Amino acid sequence: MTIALRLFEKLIGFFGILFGLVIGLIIALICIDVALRDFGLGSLPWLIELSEYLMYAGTFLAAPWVLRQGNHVRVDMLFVALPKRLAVRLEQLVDLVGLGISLVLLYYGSAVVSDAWRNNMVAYKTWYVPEWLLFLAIPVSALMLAIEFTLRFMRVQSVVRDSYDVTDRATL
Amino acid sequence: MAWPAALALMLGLVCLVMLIGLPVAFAFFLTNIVGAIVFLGGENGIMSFIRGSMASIANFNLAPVPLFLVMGDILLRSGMAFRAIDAIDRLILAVPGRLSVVAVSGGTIFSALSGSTIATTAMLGQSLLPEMLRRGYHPSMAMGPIMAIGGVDMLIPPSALTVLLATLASSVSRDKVSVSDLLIAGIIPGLIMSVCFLIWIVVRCWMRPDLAPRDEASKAPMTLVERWRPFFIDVVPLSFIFIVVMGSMFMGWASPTDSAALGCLATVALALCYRALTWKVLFESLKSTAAVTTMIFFIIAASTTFAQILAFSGATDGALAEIAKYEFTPLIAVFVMIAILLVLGCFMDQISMMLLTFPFFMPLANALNMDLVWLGVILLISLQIGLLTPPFGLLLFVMKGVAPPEITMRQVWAAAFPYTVIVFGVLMLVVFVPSVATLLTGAMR
Amino acid sequence: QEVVLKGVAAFQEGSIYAQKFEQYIKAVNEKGKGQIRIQYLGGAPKVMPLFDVGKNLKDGVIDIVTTSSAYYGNVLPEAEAMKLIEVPMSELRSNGGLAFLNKLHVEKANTEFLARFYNYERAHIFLNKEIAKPDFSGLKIRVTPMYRPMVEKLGGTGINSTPPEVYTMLERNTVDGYGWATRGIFDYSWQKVTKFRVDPGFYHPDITLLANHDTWTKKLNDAQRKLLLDLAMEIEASTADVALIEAERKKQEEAGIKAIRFAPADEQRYVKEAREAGWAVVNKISPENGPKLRGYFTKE
Ligand code: NA
Ligand code: NA
Repeated sequence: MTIALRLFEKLIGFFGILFGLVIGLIIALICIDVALRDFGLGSLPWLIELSEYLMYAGTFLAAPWVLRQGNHVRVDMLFVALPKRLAVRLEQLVDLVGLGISLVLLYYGSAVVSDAWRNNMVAYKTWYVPEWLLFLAIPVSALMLAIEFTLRFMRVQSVVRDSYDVTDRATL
Repeated sequence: MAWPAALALMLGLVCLVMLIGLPVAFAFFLTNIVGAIVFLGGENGIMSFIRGSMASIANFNLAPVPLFLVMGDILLRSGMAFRAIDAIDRLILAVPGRLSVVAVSGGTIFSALSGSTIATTAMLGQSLLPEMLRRGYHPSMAMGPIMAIGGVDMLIPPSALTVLLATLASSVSRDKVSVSDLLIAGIIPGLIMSVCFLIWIVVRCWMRPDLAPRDEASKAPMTLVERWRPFFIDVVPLSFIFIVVMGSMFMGWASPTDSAALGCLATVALALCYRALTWKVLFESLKSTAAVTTMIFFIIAASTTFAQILAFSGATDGALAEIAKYEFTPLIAVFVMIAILLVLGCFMDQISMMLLTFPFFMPLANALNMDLVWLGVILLISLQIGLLTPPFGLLLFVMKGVAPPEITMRQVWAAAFPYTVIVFGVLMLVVFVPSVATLLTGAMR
Repeated sequence: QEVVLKGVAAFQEGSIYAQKFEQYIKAVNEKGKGQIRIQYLGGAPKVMPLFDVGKNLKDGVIDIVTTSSAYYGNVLPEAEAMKLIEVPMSELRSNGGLAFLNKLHVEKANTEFLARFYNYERAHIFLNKEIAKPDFSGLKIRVTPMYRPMVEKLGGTGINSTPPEVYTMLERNTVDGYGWATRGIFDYSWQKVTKFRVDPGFYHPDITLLANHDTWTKKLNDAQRKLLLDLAMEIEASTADVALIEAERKKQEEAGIKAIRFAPADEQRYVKEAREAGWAVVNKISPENGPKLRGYFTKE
């Protein structure tokens, strides 16, 4: 079990780092495109399309990593105001709601993927990209989010007796 | 469903789940699921909104956001920013509240290099705050100017938030908001704001010397060369970055997105010249940019669809027709918008606010033929005030994060308050003297 | 009782290319009072992403839309060919072409093709540099997918960018021109930074009226279908656009945009290269249906 948890942590961390590297790649490609254009050597016609897909997929796939770090913005008024025991319960409620949302995204996200697969849907700008491949990032992200929300729920439970510090999971 | 009910359902639900502490992006996702079932017709509707989440962030107009974040992060992590602050520190002599003045003037310079308010506030907080507190500055005089400068950073280009505002506003507006115009328009209000902060600091510390102990005696006297050399070595070359970003955009080599990428390249090149760039610095900068970008884009993915479902349900048009009945003058309409943003700003982040309100604001502005550059600057400053107002203020949190543990949230709020009032004053100036915002863009044409 | 259809435009409400749909809705709601009503929800991207309009129509999230074939290639790849329709709609309706096109729409996109609203638009290349021959060598031209193959075929460099960036790019000579339809450049103020329009136009950008197939066959009765079709045909048959487009060309001239004309032989080659570039893409997408469609769509 601990090995599985370790691997999961590595996996979501991998997607976070990957997104960082992808942003670096986009910067490099845009600079190359500007240089090519201004020296009259052509351009990278697929650059906009590629960047758009990467920004989208990167965001969804890195979202579980950001959740792990507690970096998704949220309003923590109620947590601060409530007594600690209640705050912990509220935290668990939030994690359960998050789990439910992730499961809906997982189920219907998979439906979107299989629908695009069955109907051979293709996005066409400069490339022909099968849409199922594009949409795949959503259910994959949702699955990881569902796992992470479950882990958060259990983590809160296991520290209820200790001095659980709500602020360590605050906004930003 | 009649539009008031639709509006109440969508807005009510999203606010409720936000308040119980669900991360903002998930609050929008939850509301979208409910909205899709009710208005888009069940399962096909849910699938439709999920597809739409991709379309809302697979949008090249958003590309400058991560790029501007990278610039600020590299400056911060390579230590270049700290050295620049140190150089400015040597230049500013015996004024009341000297280090606070250093924070504001150094922060203003840094604003022209960094596109991220978070990076700027964190940088100043890490470099100057410990020193100020050690020398016995009152926490309000130490933290206030640092948080305030975040707002200046947002107005002076490059600015990730300005790009977001122009993009999100254009997507719901008949007349488009030019990214480059809005970037330029922020410069004068930003500088005015910075000057107002300086005046406030000096006057306040002159009247109450206990807020900021005079420290020049503790420093060994420096020769003119010692005093100015670091400025020319560590500050002046940084203007290269600003010149690349603004120059490439206005000399015609590059679109706003291109210029952001070139700005990153210039930052990397400069860091190499200073021998301040390591793989680790680059890697950590990209990683932290990825985290902040994900946070921002995930909200946009969820809330763009939210706005679309709201429009689909008829709530947007219904509410707009209702507002139209009041026959607002542009000035009153602007005040209504400001008031709404100030109230929401207490509870919400800037991106959610833009996405919630712009579907109503922009058509109204179009109908009243408002100058969108002027309005853009007003909205930008109103949003910025939200960064400083409790309980939910991004810069308050950043400050709390870098401040010593004994500083309480209440002290952070109190420190930000006078600067919030000054920012509001500048906002009123822009409202009543529009040329403050439109002067430069007019001159560019 | 009254049937209510959800209607969406792929264009911003009130814009040129949404106007006929809006006029159509008004007519349907007047004449069909009591039996049918179109509830106009608005345009993309206000109510949904532009490229999802076709899919949402297919899935029945909405019932009736106006859109362009450029926006629903993901549900009907062959839509790519519709800008290459050169024969008049009346002929397409009689030569079996429309029946074939509609069959593709029904089978692949669960969509009924009702009418084509805009018939006289042409695609143009607008430039800031004068050229004497149909040769774009050395020119950087901002394109959408529709224009890229022909621009590249004629030796130019196709540049992608989003419409809000185009003005700045033209103003600062980041690009030398762009591809756009006859009408619409005033919406973006591009006339201020444009010097030439290459004539003649090529492709026939299409803007059509489509309905969900299930809605069409199951939700509506004969009388309702007839009403919807009759009113749509009125708009399709109208030639009012011819004068409007002529007026637009005048307006461009007054704004200082000069027309570039080639020698007759070059002119023919220009249109032919564009046409061939277009069909090459269609044949790649659908080797089976491409040649069939070309038989119906052109007189060669
Ligand atoms: Na800035
Ligand atoms: Na706030």
